[in-house]
Amino acid sequence: MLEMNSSKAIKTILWKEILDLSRDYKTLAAVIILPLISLPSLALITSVLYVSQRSSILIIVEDQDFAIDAITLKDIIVEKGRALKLELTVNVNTNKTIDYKYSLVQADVVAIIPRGFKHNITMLDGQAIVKVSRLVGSPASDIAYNALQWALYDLSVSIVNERIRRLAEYANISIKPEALRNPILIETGYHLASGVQARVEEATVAFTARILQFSLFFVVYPAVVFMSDAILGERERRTIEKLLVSPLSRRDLLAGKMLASMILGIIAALADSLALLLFFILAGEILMLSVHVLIAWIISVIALIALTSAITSIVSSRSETTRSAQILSFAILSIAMIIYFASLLVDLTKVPAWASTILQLIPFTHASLAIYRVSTGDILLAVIHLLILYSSIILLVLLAVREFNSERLLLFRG
Amino acid sequence: MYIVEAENIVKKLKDKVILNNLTLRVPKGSIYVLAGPNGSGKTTSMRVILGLIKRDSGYLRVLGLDPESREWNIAKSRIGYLPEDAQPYERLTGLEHIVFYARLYSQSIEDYSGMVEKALKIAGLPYQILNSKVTTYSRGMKRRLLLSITLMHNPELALLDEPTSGLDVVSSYRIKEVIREMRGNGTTFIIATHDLKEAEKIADRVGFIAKGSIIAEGTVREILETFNAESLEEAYVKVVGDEF
Repeated sequence: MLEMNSSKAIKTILWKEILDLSRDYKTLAAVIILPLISLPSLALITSVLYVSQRSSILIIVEDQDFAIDAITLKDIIVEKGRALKLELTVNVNTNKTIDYKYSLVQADVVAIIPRGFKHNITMLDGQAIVKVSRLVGSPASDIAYNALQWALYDLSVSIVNERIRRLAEYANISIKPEALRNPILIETGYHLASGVQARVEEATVAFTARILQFSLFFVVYPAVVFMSDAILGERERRTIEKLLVSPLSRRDLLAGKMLASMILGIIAALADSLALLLFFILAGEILMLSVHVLIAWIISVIALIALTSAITSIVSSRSETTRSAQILSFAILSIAMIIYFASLLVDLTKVPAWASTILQLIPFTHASLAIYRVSTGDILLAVIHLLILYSSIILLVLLAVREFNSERLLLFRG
Repeated sequence: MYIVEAENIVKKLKDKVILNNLTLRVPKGSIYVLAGPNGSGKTTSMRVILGLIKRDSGYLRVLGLDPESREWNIAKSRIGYLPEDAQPYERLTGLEHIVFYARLYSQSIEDYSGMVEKALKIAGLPYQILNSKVTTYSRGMKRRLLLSITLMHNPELALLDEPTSGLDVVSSYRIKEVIREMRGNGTTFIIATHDLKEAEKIADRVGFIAKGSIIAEGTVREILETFNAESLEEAYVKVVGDEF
C-alpha cells in the first residue's frame, strides 16, 4: 500500500467539510445572511426613524419689537428643517403672560427672545442674547436645536453684514462684507505619503480603505466558529475517531479542515464587509474603491482568516468543548478586534514608538497596515507587512499541526 | 503468525493505570474477542493498537510495524476500526459517507468502485434510505453504515468496539454474518465486547481483560475446560471472583 496522496487527501476532506458545513443552515444564516441583512437594515431603519422624529421649537418673544421678525425667524427655521427633511414644528408665542413651565413641557427646544433683543441687534456694537432650553436626553431636541442654531447663524450673518455696510458708509469706504467677516479662506488639497499631490478621489479611496481596515473586525468571527466546529464539533459528535484512523496524515486532515473553514470564512467575510460598506453608504458616506486597495484587502482577509483558523485550531486542540474553544479564541482574537476598531479612528503609523513596537509584534496589525499602505501609495511597505503576516501564519500553522494530536483530541488532556 | 503482538503494554492517564502489562497475541485470520466489563481497558487497548494513544512502555507490533513509528501512516490503509460510540455525520447521506471514505481509502478508480460496491453490500440498506440524511436512520442502520465503511477496503485487520451493542436482533445477526464472511476471506478481527454470550458465538479466541490486563486467554473450548464452566460468563466470574 502507498501513503495517501496529499492533495487528494486534502481535496477529499475539503469536499466533506464543505458539504457538511454548507448544510448547517442555522450557522450559515448567523454568520453570512444575518450581517448582510442586519447592518444595512440598521443604517436604513435608523436614518428613516431619525428624519421621521417629530421635534418642536417654541419661540417666546418677550421683546415685542421683535414680534414681526420672530415670524421671519420661524420661517427660516422651518426652511432649514425642510432642507434636512425633518419633521419640525415651530411655534411663536408673543403672549406677555406665558406659563414658562407649561411651555417647556410643550416643546423640545424653547428659545426666549428677551426684552431689548431688537435694540441690541440694531445697535452697531450691541450684543443680543437668546436664552435656549433643551429637553434632556432627547435626540429630537438635538435636531431642533441644530435647526435653531443654523437659523440664528444666518440671522447673525445678515446683522453683521448690515453693520459692516453701515460702518463702510460712515467711513465712506467700499468694503466687501464677506471678505471682512472671513479674512482667511482655506483651500484644502491632498497629498500622498510619497509627497505627490493627490486628487479628491484618492482621498475618498483612502477613507474607504479605513472602513475596509475596520471591516477586518468582522472577518475573525466566522473563521472561529467554523474552525472550532471542524475540530471539536467532530469530537462532540463522535465522528473524529474514524477519521483519525484513516490513511490521512494529521497534517492533511488539518489542512483540509482549515481550507474548508477558510472558504466559508471568506464567503462570510465578503458578506460582512459588503454589509458594512452598505451601512456607511446608507449612512450618507461617499465611498470609492481602487483595484490596488481591493487586492490588498482580499490578500489581508485571506491571511487573517488563515491566521484565525490556525489560532483557533491550537486553542481547540487544548479545549474540552466547542464553546470553551470559541470563548478562548474570541478572548485572544479580541486583540485583533481592538486593532481593527482603532484603525477607524487612529493612524496606526503615527502612534508613539513604544505603542508602535507592541503593535508591530502582533501579526493582526500587519493586515490593517497593508491595506493602509496601499491606500496611501506605499506598495513596498504594504508588501513587507504582508510578508510578515504570512510568515506568522506559517509558524502558527506548523504549531497547529503539532498540537493536533489524536491522544489529546480523544482524551482531552489540555 | 500473529498480526498483533503486544507485550507488557503499560498506559497511565493522570497517574491512573489503564493498561497494566497487557499482553496479547492475535493470530492472523482469526476472530479475537477481547471480553471484559466496562472500564476494563478494552477501548484503550484498541486505541493503543491503532496508534491513537501512545503507550508508556511495552513492546507492540501491528502488521509488523510499531504504531508509533513514522511508517505507521502507510499501514493505516490496511486497518479498519469501528469505535464503540462512533456516529455518522448527521448532515450527510449514507451514500455520501460511503463515497467520502472510499475516496480516502482508494488508490485508483477501480479501487474506489470496488469499495463503494462492497460498502453497499455490507450496509444492505435500500437505495432510497442511502440517499437520505442519516438523521432519519435507526441505530441499527447507522451501525451497519459505519461497519460498511469500516470494512469496505478489505482490511487485513479490523478492530470493532462493541459492534452489536444495543442493536436489534436482525441488525446484530447481519453484522455477525458479515464478520464471519470476511474472516473467511482472510480479515483478522479484534472485537471488544462486554457481552460474553455474543463472544461465545463468534470468537475463535477469547481474551478476558480486567483492570488493564489479560487474565485468561484461549479458544472458547479451552477457556470452558480450563475453568470447568458451562459458559464464558461463568468462566469470567470464576477468573475475576468478586472483584467486580
